[in-house]
Amino acid sequence: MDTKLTSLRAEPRPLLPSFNGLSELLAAWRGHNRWRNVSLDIELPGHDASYSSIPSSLNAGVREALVARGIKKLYTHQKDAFDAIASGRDVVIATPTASGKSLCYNLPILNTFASDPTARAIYLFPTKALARDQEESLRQLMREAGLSQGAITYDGDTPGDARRAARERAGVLMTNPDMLHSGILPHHAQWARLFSNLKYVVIDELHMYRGVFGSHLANVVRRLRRLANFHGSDPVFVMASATIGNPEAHASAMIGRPVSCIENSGAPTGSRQFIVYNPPIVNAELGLRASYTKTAVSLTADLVRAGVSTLVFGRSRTGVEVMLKYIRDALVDDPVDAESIMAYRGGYLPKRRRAIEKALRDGEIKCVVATNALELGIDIGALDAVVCAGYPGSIAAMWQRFGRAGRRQEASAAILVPSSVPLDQYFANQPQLLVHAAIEQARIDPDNIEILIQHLKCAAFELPFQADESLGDLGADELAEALQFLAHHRVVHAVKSEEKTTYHWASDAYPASSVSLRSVGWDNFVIIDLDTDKTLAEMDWRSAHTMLHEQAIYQHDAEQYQVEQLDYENRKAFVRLVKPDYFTTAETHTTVSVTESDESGLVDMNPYWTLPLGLGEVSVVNKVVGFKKIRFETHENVGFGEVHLPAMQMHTSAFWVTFPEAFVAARPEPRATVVDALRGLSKAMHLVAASGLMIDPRDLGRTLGDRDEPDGQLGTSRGVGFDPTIFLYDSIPGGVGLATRLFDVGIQLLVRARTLIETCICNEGCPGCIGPAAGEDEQFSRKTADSVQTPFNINRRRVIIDILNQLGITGEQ
Amino acid sequence: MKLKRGLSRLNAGHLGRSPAAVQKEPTGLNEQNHRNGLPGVVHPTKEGPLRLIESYFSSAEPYGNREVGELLDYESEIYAALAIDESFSSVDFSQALFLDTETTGLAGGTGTLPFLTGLARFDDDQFIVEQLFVENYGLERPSLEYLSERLAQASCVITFNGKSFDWPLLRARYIMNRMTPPQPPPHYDLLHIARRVLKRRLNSVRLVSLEKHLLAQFRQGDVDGSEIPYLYFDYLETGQPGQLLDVIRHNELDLLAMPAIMSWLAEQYTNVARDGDPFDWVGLGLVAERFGDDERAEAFFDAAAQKTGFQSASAEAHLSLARRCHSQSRFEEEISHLNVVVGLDAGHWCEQAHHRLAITYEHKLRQYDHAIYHAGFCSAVEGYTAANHRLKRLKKKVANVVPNRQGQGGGQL
Repeated sequence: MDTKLTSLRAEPRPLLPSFNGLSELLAAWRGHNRWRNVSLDIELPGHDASYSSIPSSLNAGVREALVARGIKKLYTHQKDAFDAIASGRDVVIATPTASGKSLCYNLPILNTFASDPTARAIYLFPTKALARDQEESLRQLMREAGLSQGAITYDGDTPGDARRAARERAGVLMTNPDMLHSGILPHHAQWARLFSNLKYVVIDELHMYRGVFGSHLANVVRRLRRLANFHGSDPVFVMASATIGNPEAHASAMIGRPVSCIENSGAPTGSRQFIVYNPPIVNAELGLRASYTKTAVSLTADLVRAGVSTLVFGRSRTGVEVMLKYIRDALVDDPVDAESIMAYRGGYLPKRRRAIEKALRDGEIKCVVATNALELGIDIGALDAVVCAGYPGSIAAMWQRFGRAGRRQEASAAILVPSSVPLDQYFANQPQLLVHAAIEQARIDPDNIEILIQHLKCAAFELPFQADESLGDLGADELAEALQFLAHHRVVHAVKSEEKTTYHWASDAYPASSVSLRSVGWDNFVIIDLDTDKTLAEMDWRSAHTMLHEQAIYQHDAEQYQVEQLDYENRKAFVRLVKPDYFTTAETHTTVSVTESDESGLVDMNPYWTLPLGLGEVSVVNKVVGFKKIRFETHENVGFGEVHLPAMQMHTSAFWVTFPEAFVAARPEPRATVVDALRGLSKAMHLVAASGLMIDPRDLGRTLGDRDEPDGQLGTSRGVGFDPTIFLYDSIPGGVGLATRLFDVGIQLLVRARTLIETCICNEGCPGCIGPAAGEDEQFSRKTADSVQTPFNINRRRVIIDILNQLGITGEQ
Repeated sequence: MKLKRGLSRLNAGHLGRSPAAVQKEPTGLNEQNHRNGLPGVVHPTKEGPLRLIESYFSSAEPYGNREVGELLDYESEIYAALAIDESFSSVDFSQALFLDTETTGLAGGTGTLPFLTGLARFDDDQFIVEQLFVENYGLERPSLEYLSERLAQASCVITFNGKSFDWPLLRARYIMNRMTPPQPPPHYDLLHIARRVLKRRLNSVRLVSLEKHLLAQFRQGDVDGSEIPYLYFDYLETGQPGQLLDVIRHNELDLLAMPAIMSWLAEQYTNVARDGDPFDWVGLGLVAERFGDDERAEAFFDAAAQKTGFQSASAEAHLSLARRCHSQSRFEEEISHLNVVVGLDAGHWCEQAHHRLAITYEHKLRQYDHAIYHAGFCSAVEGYTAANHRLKRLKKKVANVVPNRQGQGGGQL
């Protein structure tokens, strides 16, 4: 039990004077013994603005609109962007949150509109909501600048009349990649006026387009450029990104040609106090720490009490709802209105989200608990403090969240509360890495064959291919090969004449309708309240498996609903308001089976042992098999149930290391112990792969299975013939090249894993290195590490080191 | 993953085509095969060769129980009325161009090819059908050019669902072939016109369904519409027209059906309720009313209202008459029409009649007790909340009733 936290909660608050404001609170905190848990407390200095004058070539009307808004000079990066875009270069702007990125592209584009009334632009945002967000402010700017072209959001909700207007008149078409892909490009002849006058394409929130979504978008861009060329235009691409490690390379991969990168922000930032607050250790033997959500809640409650406006980021939708409930409970005796503490996450209906955003800007809301939905460029102004409950998975996402803290003048606080998962503890123990580590790179693979071939079908539908054509950066030879493949399968029809071959679409189907740009998102479940018959929220297909199974407690706005019926066919979940003293968490079973082995290598470790490494295609099957009931506050397990839902299957690439049966049999420990140790090793490998090689850990899956028996249950009962195999796979259908990178690193991954295990402070394995022992569900242990038991009286850490010794892996030199 | 290796791993399932479709090896194109067995004549044009299939019919050519030329027996004014569009009264329908396409799919978009464009027109006592056949992808320009010329000569273009299907598709083909899309003459889309008149009686207003019910025309061995794209793809692969000949015939029948259906509609509209179906009379009455031909509208409504044995047609006609009376402040007459409806066994029409009665009694005649009676039946029409609100308001009015100073009978209990 986390008695320490409980006692903190019970501590009498000083009557007078109560903490007032951030600096008083920080001083009080620092004087308190709880500050022993802080592993980092440094000031990140702000910097002053650096300005440039408004470019003289800017149209007078646009200039007046700026002046009317009180803008008499530009930040340096805005001026740099203006110059680059005005000279016709493709540009990516990668500056921090709230540095005025939209003006970077709006200014040069409006300037073009002023001199060329026929010019058109397409603005792409990753979600409908973001497009609608920008629409009103852009329209107002255009009106004030005396421009009549107009801006229209074109998405699934646009009514018929407005659609016509969008086609015929709108200067700026604001839409999302999905709509461009399935609603505009296949009908480009109707959009001839747009495409023939297309001068600019803006891709905002570029960092969102990575992995499978990004690889799809790169192909949509290939198609867009092809059609623009057909209609006689060659638009300039302007991309805006949050800070990522490789903005220039990523942007250039996205559009298939070189881009100029603008990274030096001229916008001012206030100073920020960066604090890493590791939840206190409650069981040193097991390396267990107090719950990070509860720790974050207690810090947030202090902040809100002191009148500090606070944004709290949680890890999941459930986590957010649990924290909202806890924070409200913690402040129930204080003169704080419960309504001034709100949750914000995907799945809330748009109207509700708009209301919360507005209340935040207006200062009516003091505290918001959010998921990563608020990482995006939604305009909510700045807050005095940001608390991040759990490391968000990447350095880039962390800075993006902390970018929400900091008004221009006053100091602010950015507080990270690491959870017990390995990556979090890795950083908690070496917090300087958070400040100095390079920011992750966004990766896409536009030539991922599954993705590419789908888009070639769409492109052939849009416009016949000439045999010698190339597609963006995809060469003519490769394209020809793919087209011949499609022709062979009678998807396209080759027409040969003396001078040339042309490939025409030859099916009655409309290909874009069967290609989804996102692995999830289209196929949503609606959540219906049985008492009111109203739609409460929506949830994506994948999450629905873990959160909407029957008997699940679905949390919404600090209320609990029980799922009474899940109509899987029709994608509906029927829920009823309940008042349980528990929430539920699903257990997922993952199996990986090799469908195609591409590369394999036998690594001779020493004269006795050889380790087979592999790279290839695998089928990953995730199946939710059951759920646990977890009591609020105590987090004890109070029951469980079975779940019967179809499995989710995905084909992707994997890297694997097999430990031959003979090796396992030759170990002195019981077989079960060896298998458990290997599971621990896989955890350490996943950790070093994610942090050392700059891979977003969410994009990398991990499991321990049997190389040859896809259905082989992990565990202790398997006998001879079971070759335990560690799989690390791309958590993205088709893969985006992560496994290939791991295969290239090969045995080095084991070397780095050993270094990690050896440098960990724990005694016999902790969540910070090799994780808890067998039988403990990880998702569960992440929420509460309180009840972990070790089934073996053997030091797991010692076993792993021994195994590595036996293989001759001695650690980094 | 190298592209070539990746391709070898993909199977047909990735492409959304059934394995059966793939197993048939393409035989390649054979110039000679292509010319085998296709009807029509290839004409050289400046855009390339154009295969034109011409068929000549007498304007007395029967189609079902009509002749195609009967269309010209009626004034343009009648066709304008049916379209509820005055501008068609000045159109010379003897110079109209009928148009119908056969395509490689129904989804629309730039990847859908209209491979057969059927055109038909009257020429003296002849009805001439011209079908422009696109022999392969990339060979559309001659037929598009020919279509432009025909459109330029026509007084109007007549289609069945062409406004939302055929014409946008053809327009896209011009753009795809870098040609200027012609400005089409006025577009007479029969689908909308027929639907307004016939939707009460027929569940389906597709062309084949209309000709069966209106013209007693039953097609033998007509091609299944969903097969048409595949018949064309097969032709492209094998060079053998095969069943494509049925598609050409199907297109020709569609072109013959259009004038026959138009003359059927014109006849019904002209000879008010001489024969036919009371449901259609209601539809025709509403069309006449919207066109501003009040006399004809009332004649249609009267005929339908008096027809016994067609309860819901009669009810809708009475309701229409009541609506007309209301707008002319003939409230007593309105009420007698509505009372007829209330007495019929006509489901939701009765509820609508109650609703109208409640309104007129309350706001026009101020006979609140009657209004209260009818308000009790209103929830089906205006929803429970609104009906309840109406009832409460009426009860309040009854309670607060003051003797009307003008003595016009308001508020009597």
